[in-house]
Amino acid sequence: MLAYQHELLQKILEQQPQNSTYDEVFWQTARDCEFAIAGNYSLLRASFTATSSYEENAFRYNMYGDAQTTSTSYLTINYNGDGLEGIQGGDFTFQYNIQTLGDWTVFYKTIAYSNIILKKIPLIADDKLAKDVINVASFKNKIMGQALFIRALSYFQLVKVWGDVPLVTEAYDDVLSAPQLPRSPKADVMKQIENDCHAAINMLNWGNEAIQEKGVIANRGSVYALLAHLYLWRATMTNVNTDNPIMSDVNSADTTLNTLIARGGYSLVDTAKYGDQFINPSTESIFEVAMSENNQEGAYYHIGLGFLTGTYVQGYSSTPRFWVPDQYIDNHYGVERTGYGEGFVYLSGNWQFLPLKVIGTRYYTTLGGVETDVTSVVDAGMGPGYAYVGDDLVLVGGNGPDEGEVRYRNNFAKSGTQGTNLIKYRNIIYRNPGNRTNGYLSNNIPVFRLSDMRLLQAEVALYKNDLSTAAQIINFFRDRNHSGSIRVSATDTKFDLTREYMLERGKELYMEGHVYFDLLRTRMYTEFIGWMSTARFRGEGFYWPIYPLLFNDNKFLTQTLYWRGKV
Amino acid sequence: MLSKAMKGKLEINPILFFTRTTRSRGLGADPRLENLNINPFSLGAGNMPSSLFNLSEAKKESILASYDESLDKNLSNVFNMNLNLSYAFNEHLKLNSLSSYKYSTSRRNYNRTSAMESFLGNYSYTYSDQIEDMLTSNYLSYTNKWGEHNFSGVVGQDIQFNVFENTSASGSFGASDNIKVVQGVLLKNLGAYSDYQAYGLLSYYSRLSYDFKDRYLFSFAGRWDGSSRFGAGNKWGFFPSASAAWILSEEKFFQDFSSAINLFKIRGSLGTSGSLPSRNYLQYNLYTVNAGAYPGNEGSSSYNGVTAITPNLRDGAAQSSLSWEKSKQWNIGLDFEVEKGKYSGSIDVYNKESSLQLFSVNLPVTTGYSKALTNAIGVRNAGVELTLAANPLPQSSPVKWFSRLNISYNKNAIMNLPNGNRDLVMDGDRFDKSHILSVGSPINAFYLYRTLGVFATEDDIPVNPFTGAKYRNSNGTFTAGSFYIQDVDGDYFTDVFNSGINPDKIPMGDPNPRITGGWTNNFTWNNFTVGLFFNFVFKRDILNLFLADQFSNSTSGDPQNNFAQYSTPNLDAINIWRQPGDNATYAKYDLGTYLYYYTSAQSFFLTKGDFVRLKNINLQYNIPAPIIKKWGLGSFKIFEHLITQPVGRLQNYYPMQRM
Repeated sequence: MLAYQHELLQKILEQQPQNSTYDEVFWQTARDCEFAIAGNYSLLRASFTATSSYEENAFRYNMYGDAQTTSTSYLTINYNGDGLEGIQGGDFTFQYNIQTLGDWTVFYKTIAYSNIILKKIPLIADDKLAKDVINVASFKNKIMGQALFIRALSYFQLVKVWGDVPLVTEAYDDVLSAPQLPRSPKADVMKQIENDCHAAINMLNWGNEAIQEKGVIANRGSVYALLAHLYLWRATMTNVNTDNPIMSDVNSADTTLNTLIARGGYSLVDTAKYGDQFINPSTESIFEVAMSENNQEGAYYHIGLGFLTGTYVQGYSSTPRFWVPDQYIDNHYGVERTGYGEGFVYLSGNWQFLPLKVIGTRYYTTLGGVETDVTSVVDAGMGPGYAYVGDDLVLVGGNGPDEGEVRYRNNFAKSGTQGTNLIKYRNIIYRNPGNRTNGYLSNNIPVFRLSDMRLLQAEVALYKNDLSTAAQIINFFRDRNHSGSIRVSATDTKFDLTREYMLERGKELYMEGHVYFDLLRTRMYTEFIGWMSTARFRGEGFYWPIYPLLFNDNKFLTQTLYWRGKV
Repeated sequence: MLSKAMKGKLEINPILFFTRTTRSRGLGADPRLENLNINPFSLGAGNMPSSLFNLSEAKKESILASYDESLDKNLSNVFNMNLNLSYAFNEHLKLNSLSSYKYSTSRRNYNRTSAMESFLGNYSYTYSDQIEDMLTSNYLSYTNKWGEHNFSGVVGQDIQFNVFENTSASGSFGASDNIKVVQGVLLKNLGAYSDYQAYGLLSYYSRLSYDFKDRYLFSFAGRWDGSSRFGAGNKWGFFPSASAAWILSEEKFFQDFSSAINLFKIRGSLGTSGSLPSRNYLQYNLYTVNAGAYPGNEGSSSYNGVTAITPNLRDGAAQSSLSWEKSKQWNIGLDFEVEKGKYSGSIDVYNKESSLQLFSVNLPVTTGYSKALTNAIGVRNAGVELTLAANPLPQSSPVKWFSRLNISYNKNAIMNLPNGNRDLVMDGDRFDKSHILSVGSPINAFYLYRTLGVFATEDDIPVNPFTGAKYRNSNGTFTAGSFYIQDVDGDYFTDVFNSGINPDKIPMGDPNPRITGGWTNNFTWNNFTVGLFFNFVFKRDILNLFLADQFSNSTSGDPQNNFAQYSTPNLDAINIWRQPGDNATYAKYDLGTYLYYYTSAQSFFLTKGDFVRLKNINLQYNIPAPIIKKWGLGSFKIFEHLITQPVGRLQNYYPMQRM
C-alpha cells in the first residue's frame, strides 16, 4: 500500500509550466512554425537595433554601416560624455563602444534560433502539419528558407564587422555542455553564407504569398540580394593588400544581380512618392526589417529619431544627437543655384536696371532675344550671386544644396541649431494623439532595395572596366532624381567614376547601413574617411575589436589582429 | 478544540483561523517599478528638486510624501485550517497526522492621478492573487525506556503542494481621476497579465534518539526529499545528520556547583541539509511568447503582426542536471541556567559551507543562451551566537522584568568561484559597478576606487614621467579640485567606463553585518505589560549612495540646468573645494566635466553602517480573568504596537516614509 501511495504522490513532483510553452510541447502545428520564424525575425530586429544603453537611438546596424565614417563626411555625432562619437575618429575602443558595439552576442542569439528552427522543422511529422497546410513540403521549405536567410544575413553582418568569427550551424541538445568555439577564418564564414543562400534560394519563391509579407518577409529575391552583396564583399575584401577584385566573385555578383533584377518583379518607385518607401514596403523593397506602428511595433528609439528636432517630434529639443554635416551636403548635393532677380548692368556706357538670371555667380540677361553672359559688367556691389528682388538684395544664385533633387528634398531639412536634419525616417505616430505624447516612429529599417541593386551593377561594371555602363547607371540615377550635379562620362577616369559612384550611393542609401562597407569595397575610404590610412586598411584596421569580457569565458578567442595590444 | 475519541486513544484537534491585513506602501511604490528598486519615496537623492517654491500643490505634496489623492489599497486575507489527529496504539507507539490547508489571497487597487502622471491621464492598476498551500505530515513515533536507557524513534512522511495564481490589469492615460478601476482607457493602453506556479515537495524521514541516564544524548536523522523543481532522475536528495549532547550538571562531580548552576549542557551536531532553487520549471527548455521586443520598443510582441515565440535565450535552457544544493555544517553549543532559571543562556559556534544559491554563469555565446544557474560558488559562513536571558527582579517584586539579549557574530567568505576562481564583478543596476565576488572576500564586497583626497592645486596632480601627461581618465585630465583617486596600477589613467575587472579598483569593505542582535525587555505589573524591543547592527559598511547621488546631478548632459533644478547638499556647510590651495574634504562640484570623479564607487562614500534601533514598543492590557469568563472567552488582550525610527551612529540616517 505504501508503494502504491508513493507512486500516486510522485505525481505532485511532476509539475508542467502553464505560463509558457516549452520545447517538449512546442513544434507541433503550422502556427507554431509561423510563430517561431516570427521570433527569429524579432531576434534579427533586436540585433540590428541593439546598441549602447547610453544612446538608444544609435542602432547598431547604422553605427557599423554609416557612423564609422568621419564626423564631417557623412554624419556628426554630438558629444555628450558617452563617447559614442569616438568611432568617428577610428577609436572603436573608446569609452563604452567596445563593450557595446564590440560585443557580438546579439547576433549569435539570432543565429542560435535559426539553428534550432532548422533542426526542429524537419522533425515535425508531416501529418501534423497537413491539417493546416495544403503543401507540407513547400510550407516547411518556406520556414526553413527564411531561417537560412536570417542566419546568412546575421553572419554577413558579423563577417563585415569582425572578419573572422565563430561559426556555429548546429543546435545543441544540451547548451550547458556546449563547447566554446574559436574564430573561424572569414573565408569559411563567407562560404557558409554562400551555401545558406544557395539552399534558401531553392526553398523560397519569387514574390510573396500575401501582400502583408511584402518586403518584410524574406523571399527568393531577398536571398539573391544578400548573395550579390556577399560576392562583392568577398571579391574585394578577401585580400585587402590588393585593390584588384577577385573576378570570379565579381562575375557571380553580376549574374546574381541580373537574375534578381530580371526575375524579382521589383520596380523603382515613382520619384513623386519617393519618401513613401521608407514608411511602407514599396515596389522596390527587397528586404527590410518591420517596425511598423500598424502592428504596434513602432520604435521609441530609432536611428531616425536621433536626427529629429522638436519640429518633428513633440517635446524634442532643437539640438539632436546626430546631424548631417555641411560637408556631406556640399559633397553630394552642392550645386550652383539658379535664380532670378534684377540689377544694374553697365551696357553701352550706361548703367541699366535689367532682369537677371543668376546661375551660381554668373549673371545672364536677355539682349535682343539672346541670353547673354553679363557677369563681367554687372554691379559688383550686389555681391556674388545676389540680385534685387523687389527692393531687397537676395542671394538668388550662389552655391547651395540641390533643392530640386528628389532625394535632397525628401530626406533633408534645416531645423534646430546644428547642421542639417535627416528626415528620411520621420513618420511619428502618437499613441496618445490627444496631447501628442507617447510617440512611436513607424519607419522600417531598409536592408536591401532595388536602387541598391541597380547601383551595385555600376560597381560590377567598374570592376570589369566597363566604364560606359557604370557612367550610364550613375547618370540614370541623376536624371531620375532631377539632380543638378554634373553628368559623368565614360571618358572620365576610373577613379573619378568610382568616386562619383560612391557619391551616388551616399545620396541614395544614406543611413541605410551600407556606406562604410561601400567605402571599403571601392577603396574610396581614402576620399571620405580621414582616419583610415592605407596602412590601417591593409592591416585590416577597419574591423572591430572584440569586447574583452568575451575572453573571460572563452579561452579559444583571439583579439582582432589590428587591435592586439591596443585594447 | 481538542477532543478525544475511542477511549482517549484518538485525539482530534482542529484549528481554524482567519486574518485580514491592510497596509500602505508609500508613494514610491509604483507597480510599474516593482522589479526595480522599491522605494517608499517617489524621489531619490539625485532628482530631489532644489526648491519647493513655485511647485504645484500636488507636486509638492508628492515630494513631501503627503499627497493622498492617489489610491493604493492593499488587502490580504489568510484562511488557515489545521486538522491534527493522533492515535495511540499503546503507550509506546503513536501515529500522528498533521494536515493544514492555507488559503491566502491578496489584492491591490492602485490609481495614480493625472497630476502625478504629467497630466496625461490617470494610471490604474489592479492585482489579485491566491495561494493554496496543502501540507500533510504523517509520522509514527515510538518511545520506550529500559532502565536508564531511553529510546525514541520517528518515521514519517511530509507532502506539500502549493499553487500560486495571480491576475493583474493596468491602464494608462485614463479619462478621469474619478475612475479608480481599470476602465475608461483606450484598448492600446490596457495591459493584463496572469500567472500560474505550482510546486510539490515530498519527504520521507526518520529520526532515532537515544539517551543514557538523561545525561548522554545521541540522535541520528536522515531524510529523503523530492521536489518538482528538478528534472527526472534528479528530484531526490538524501540528507543525514547526527548530534550528541552531554548534560554535565547531572553528573556527580558537578554536585558542588549545582546549587548555583542548575543546568550545564554541551552539545554538538554535524549534518548536511539541502535547499531548493526559488524558481519552478527549471528543468524545461522554456520559451518566451510575445518575444517581439527590441531595444527600440520593449513592448512589441510580434514581428510584422505575427506573434513571435523564441526560446528564452536569457536563462531558459533546461537545467536537467540541476539538483538539490547540499551544504555541510557543524555546530558546538553550550546551554546553562543559573539560580533556577533566573539567568539562562546559550552559546553556539557554527560553520556552514554551502554554495551560493543558483548563481548565474555565462554560457558559450555561440549557444545563443546567456546564462545558466550553477552551484559553483562556494561560501563559508562561520560565527558565534550568544543568547542571555534574565528575570533580574526578585520573585516578591510586584513588577516583573524579563530581559533577553541575543547577539550573533557571523563572518562569510567566498571559498570558490566558477571559471577557475576568476573574480566576478556584479552587474548592478547602477552606472558604477560597485560589488565584486572574489575568493577570500566576503559576499558582495564593495569594489571601489580608493579616494586619497582632493587635489588642492594643479601641481598636486601626478604627472607621468615618461610622457609628461597629467593623471587623467578617458574623458580628460584631472584638475585642481577633483578627487584624487588612487592609481592602483600606476599607469596615470583610470577608466570609469570599465565595468569589468578594473585595474584601479580594489575589493574593500563588507556589506554583511558582522554583529547583529536584538534585546527584548518586558515589564509586567498587574495586568499591564510594557515591551521594548531594540535591534542593532555593528561592523558593517555601507556605500552612501544618497550622498553620492546628491553630487552627481550635474555630471550628465545639461549640467547647469540640472544643478539649478535638483537639490544639492548645503555647500556652505561642507568643506568643499572652492579655489586653488583649498585643503578640502569634498571635491569641486562637478558641472559637466565628464571626469566622473564623484563616482559612487569610491571609498569616499564608504561609511559605517552601525545602528541601534528601538524597533518597537508594546503596551498590553490583559482583561482580568473573572470579567472575560463572563464573556465566555479564555483570554482577551488589548494592545498597541508602535514602530519607531532608528537611532544611532549613522551620520546620514535614512529618512523613513510616513506609513
